[in-house]
Amino acid sequence: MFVLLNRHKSVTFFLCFCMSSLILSWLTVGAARTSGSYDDSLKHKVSPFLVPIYFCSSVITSIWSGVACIGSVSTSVWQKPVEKARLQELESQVERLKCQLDAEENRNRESLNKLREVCVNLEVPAESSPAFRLVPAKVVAVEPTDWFRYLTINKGSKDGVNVDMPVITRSDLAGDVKYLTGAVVGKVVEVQARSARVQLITDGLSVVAVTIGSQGDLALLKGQPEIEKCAIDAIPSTTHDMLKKGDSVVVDERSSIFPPQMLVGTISSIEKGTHFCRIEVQPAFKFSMLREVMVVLDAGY
Amino acid sequence: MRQTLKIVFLIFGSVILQIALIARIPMLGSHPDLPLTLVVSIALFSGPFHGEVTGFVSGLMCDFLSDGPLLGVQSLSRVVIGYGIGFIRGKLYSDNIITQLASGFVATLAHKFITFIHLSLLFTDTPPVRFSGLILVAISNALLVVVVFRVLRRFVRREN
Repeated sequence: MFVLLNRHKSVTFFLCFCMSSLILSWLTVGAARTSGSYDDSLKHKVSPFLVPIYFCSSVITSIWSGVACIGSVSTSVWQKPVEKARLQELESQVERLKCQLDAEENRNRESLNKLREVCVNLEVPAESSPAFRLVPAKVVAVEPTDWFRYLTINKGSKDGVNVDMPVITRSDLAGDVKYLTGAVVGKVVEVQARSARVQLITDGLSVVAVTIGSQGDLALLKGQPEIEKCAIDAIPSTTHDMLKKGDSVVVDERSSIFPPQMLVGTISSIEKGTHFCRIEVQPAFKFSMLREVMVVLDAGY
Repeated sequence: MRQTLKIVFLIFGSVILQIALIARIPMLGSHPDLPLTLVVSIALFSGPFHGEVTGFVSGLMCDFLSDGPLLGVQSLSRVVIGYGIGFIRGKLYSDNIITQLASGFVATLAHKFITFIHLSLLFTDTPPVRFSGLILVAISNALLVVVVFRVLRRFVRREN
């Protein structure tokens, strides 16, 4: 047996290496499927042995950046006058374009003011004033450990975003609008100058006041990140008889954060008990497909 | 023993150079792969056994040093490439520059393809494999194989 293995050493090792690699990858992905986050304990255990590699690479990187810095200094010293002139020309062009942009913005603002004056003169009812102000935002980061719980968007306090502002799915609307379309994604929980952290409705700590059934009963929707869904517990048996799979779940009018009557999701399963039942709600957005969202700045209600 | 130490040194050196310098060279969203060229060169130089061992060790190091959570993806494709090129080495004249260029080019395409298949089996969504700049990277890897092969010939004694 040993002689046979030794004779086919390369094939034996090839199969062993392939099996080891496959087992490693299945272990990391399998952990993510069951717990919602990747198992990086092995990486943590090995990380002390990788310190010398990181050290060597940082030394080489710093040497390289030093060389690059010297190179750029020497380039600027020996830069040809022609290149300098070209650079100055481009800089002046940028300045000119900035001035044009400012002028254009001023003109647009004036036109908007005139339009508003015209609207006032025409006595357009006050009801038509915009009720919502939306800011489109891109999803820029999703932490591997926070899948189905949190995400980061590229709009922050400098764009008017604040804590507890609702975040909805991307629709064709932007700016000031009267009616909202889309579905609830979550709410802003942390704000930086140019970014914000959004807690999804599928997070375990998220609670949304929703309306279910034809009678419009109030219920509390809680997140279930491990199954990428939400759930409503302890619904009285008087209500659950009127519920069926596929029914829409919308935000209740008494919700202090989310726009009322906005779609949250649909009922995906109903577990009926003797006195109470539990329903699972499939959110109207798909986490893996979230690329762009809208932050509702002014709820207007 | 000395040969093994030299190969280990080359693996570590290639991985360090990769993360310190070469990973910073942008090529349409991708970058050349020095450890992969080392696997190809060693497989061409010493045969399938050394090729697959180098592939496994350098692949695991790349997996552990990468930002992503997955392990075993890089090592699997490199083991297959190391074994495959080492296996056909006997049928080719490995000292020929065209053989080295072709091996480097094909190995880069095979590496991407194997990674793509592996990730497709692991995930139901579209796997995050970058195909942009692939031809450019394959050409640069092919050129790197020629350089690395010459470095190997200088430092490591050939085994038949």
